[in-house]
Amino acid sequence: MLRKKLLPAWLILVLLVAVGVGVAGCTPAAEAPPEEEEEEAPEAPEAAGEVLMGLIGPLSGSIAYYGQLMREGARLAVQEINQAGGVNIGGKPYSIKLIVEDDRALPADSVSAAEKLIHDNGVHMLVGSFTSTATLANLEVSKRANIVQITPVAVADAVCPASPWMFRNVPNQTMQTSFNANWVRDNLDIKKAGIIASDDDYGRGGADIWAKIMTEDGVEVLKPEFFQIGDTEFSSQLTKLRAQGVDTIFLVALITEGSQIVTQAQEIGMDVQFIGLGGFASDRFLELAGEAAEGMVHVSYWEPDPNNPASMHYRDAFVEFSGLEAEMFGAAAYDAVYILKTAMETVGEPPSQDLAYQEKLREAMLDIEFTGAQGPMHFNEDGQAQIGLYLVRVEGGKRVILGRWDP
Amino acid sequence: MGTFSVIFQQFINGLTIGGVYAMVAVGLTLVFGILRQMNWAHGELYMLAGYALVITYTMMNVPYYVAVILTVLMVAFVGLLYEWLVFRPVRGKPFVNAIVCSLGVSIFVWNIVLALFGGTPYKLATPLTGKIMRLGLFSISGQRLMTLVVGVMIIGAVYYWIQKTRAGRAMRAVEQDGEAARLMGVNINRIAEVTFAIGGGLAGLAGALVGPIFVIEPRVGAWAVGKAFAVVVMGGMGSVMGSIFAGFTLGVIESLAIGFLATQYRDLIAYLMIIVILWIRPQGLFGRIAQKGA
Repeated sequence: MLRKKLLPAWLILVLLVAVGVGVAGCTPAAEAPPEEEEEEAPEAPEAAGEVLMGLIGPLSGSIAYYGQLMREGARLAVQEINQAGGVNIGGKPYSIKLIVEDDRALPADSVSAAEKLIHDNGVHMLVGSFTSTATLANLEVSKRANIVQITPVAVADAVCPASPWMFRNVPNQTMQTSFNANWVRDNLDIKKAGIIASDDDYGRGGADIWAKIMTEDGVEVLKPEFFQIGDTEFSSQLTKLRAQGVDTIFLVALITEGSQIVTQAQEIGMDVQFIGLGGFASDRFLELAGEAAEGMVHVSYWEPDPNNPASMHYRDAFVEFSGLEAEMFGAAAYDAVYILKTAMETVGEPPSQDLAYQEKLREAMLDIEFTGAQGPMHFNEDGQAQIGLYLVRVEGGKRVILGRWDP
Repeated sequence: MGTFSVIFQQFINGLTIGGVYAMVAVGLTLVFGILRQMNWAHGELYMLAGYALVITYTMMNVPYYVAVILTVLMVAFVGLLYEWLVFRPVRGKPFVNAIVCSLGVSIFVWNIVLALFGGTPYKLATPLTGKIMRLGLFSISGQRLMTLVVGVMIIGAVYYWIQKTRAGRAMRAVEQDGEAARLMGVNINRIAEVTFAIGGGLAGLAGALVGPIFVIEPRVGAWAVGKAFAVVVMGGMGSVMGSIFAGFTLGVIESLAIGFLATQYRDLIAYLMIIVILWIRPQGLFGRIAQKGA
C-alpha cells in the first residue's frame, strides 16, 4: 500500500530535486522581486532637457554587494554632473536621469531589464551589467535597438566584439591575466604553480591564459582545479597541492570562495604565494580573509593613486556619498557615466534613440580621449578600453600598489 | 609528505566534512522515515545556525561554547515551529503537499535572512581558530577536530537514544506502522515534535561547529539540503544508520576524488557511486524494502 501511494510522489520528488539543483546552481532562486528605482536627480538650474540613462546591475542575490557599489558609483557621477550644471549639449544644460534595474546576475532577468529600460523608459544609453554572462545576454537587446551601451565590469573577452554598440571601460580578461602573469614571471621566483578557479567562462579563461604564459617561461603549472560557485570546503584541493610541492597558487574567484581558500590554506599551515585575478580588491575580502590574505598579489582597476588626482577625489567623494568603501567596481561605473557625458557633449545634439543620434554618439565614443578616476583611456575599434591596471599586494591588512601597467 | 600520509590526510578531510553531511542528513531522514514527509527547508536550519551564532557569539558576546548550545536550542525550536506551523497541518495529506509547503518555507526563510543580514558573508573566529594539531600522520585544525569528535559523539548519542529508550522505541514504532502505533496509544504529534526538534538540533549543531570554518551566508541552505538529500537516498530513505554511514562515505569519496583526480570530477565520482549503489540496492545501503506486499 505504501509503495503504490509513494510512487507518483517519488517521481515528483525526483523532478523537484532536478529543479532544486538547477535553482541552487543559479543561486538567487527567490530574491525580492526585481525592483525598479527611479532616481529623481536633483534638477540642475533651468535644465533645457533630460538625458535618460539606464543602469543594469545585480542589486539582489548573492553578488548584490557588487551591484550596490556599481550603482552608487554611477549615482555619485550623476549627482556631481547635475549639480555642476548638467551635460552641456550645444550650449544648453541637460540634466541626467538615472533609471536603475536589477538583473540578479541572471541572463534572463538582464534581458528583460534591458527591454524595459529601452522600450518602456526610452533610455538614450545603457550602463551595465556586472557579470559577463548577463551582459552577453542583454547586449543583444541594445544591439537590436541600436543603443549605445557601456559596461564597467563584465570582463569576458567576447563582450565587446559581440556588438558594435558595446563598450567597456575596464581591461578585458586577456589584458588583465597577461599583465598579471607577465609581472609574476618577471618579479617572483616561481618553480611550480597550482591553479584554483571557478568553473565558469571566467575561471576557465583566466586559468588557460595564465598557465600558457607561465609555462612558456618554464614554470611547471599543474592542471587547474575548478570549483563550483558556492563550494565551501577546499581542504582536499589544498592538501593535494601542498603534497605536490607548489610554491604559488593562482586564484580566479570572488571574495566568498577566495577568502575561504586562503584561510583554509593558512589553517593547514601551508606556505604559498597567492596570486589573484578577480574581485579581491575589496575591503570586505580583507575582513573575511584576515591575516591569511597577507602577501597576496592581485590586480585592481582602481586604487587611490597620488599620481592621479581624480582617483583621490573619487575615494573621498564616494565614501562621503555612499558610506560604502571606495573600490574598483564603483570607480569604473563612475567613470562610465563621465565617459557618456563627454561623448554627448562632443555630439552636441539633444539625445534620442534615433539611429542617426546613436551613430554619432558611437563615433564620439570611439574618438574619445578620457582621463577619469581609473586613469587615462581611449577605446579601440571594438569598443574595448585601452586602459591601465594596477597590481597590488596585501600588506598589514591594506592593499599596497606594486605597479601599474599601461597598454 | 609520503603518499600514505597524503591519503590519510585526505581521509581525515573527508571524515570532517562527512560528519557535517551526516548531522544534517539524520534530521532529514528521521522526518521522512517517521512522518513520511519530505522537508525541503531542512537546509535552512543549517543556514540559520550560522546566523544564530552571529547573533549570540558576535553581537551579544556570549562565550563560544555557550553560544553553540544556545544555537542548538534556537534551531531546535525553529524545527518545532516547522512542525507546528507547516508539517502538522498537511500530515495525512498527499505527499506532495509537504514538499511544496517546505519549499515555500525555504524560500521564505532565505529571504528573511537576506533582508535582515544582507547577502555578504560573515566570518567568525572562535577560541580554536588558528590552532593546528599535528598528530603523527596528519594535521587538523582545532575547530575541525572538535567538529569531528563532537559530531561523532552526538550522532552516536542520538542513535543510542532512538534504539534504547522508550521514546526512541515509540519513534521506531511510528516509523514501522503509524496506524498500529497510534492504536497502541502512541501520540503521533508528540513524536513529530521530538523528531523535528532532534533534526533541528543536529542541523543547528552542524552549522554552529562548521560556521566558523567556512563563511556564513544565506546561500548555504540550498547546498546543505542538496548534499543531505543525496546522503539520505544513498543510505536508504528513513534509515538513521544509513544516513550516518552514507554521510561519512560521501565526504571521504569527495575528498579522495579531489585529491587523486581533480575538483571538477568530485560530483561526477560521488554521484556515480550513488547511482551504482542504487542500482545494486534500490532501497539504499541500509534501507528496508517497503514491507507488507506494498
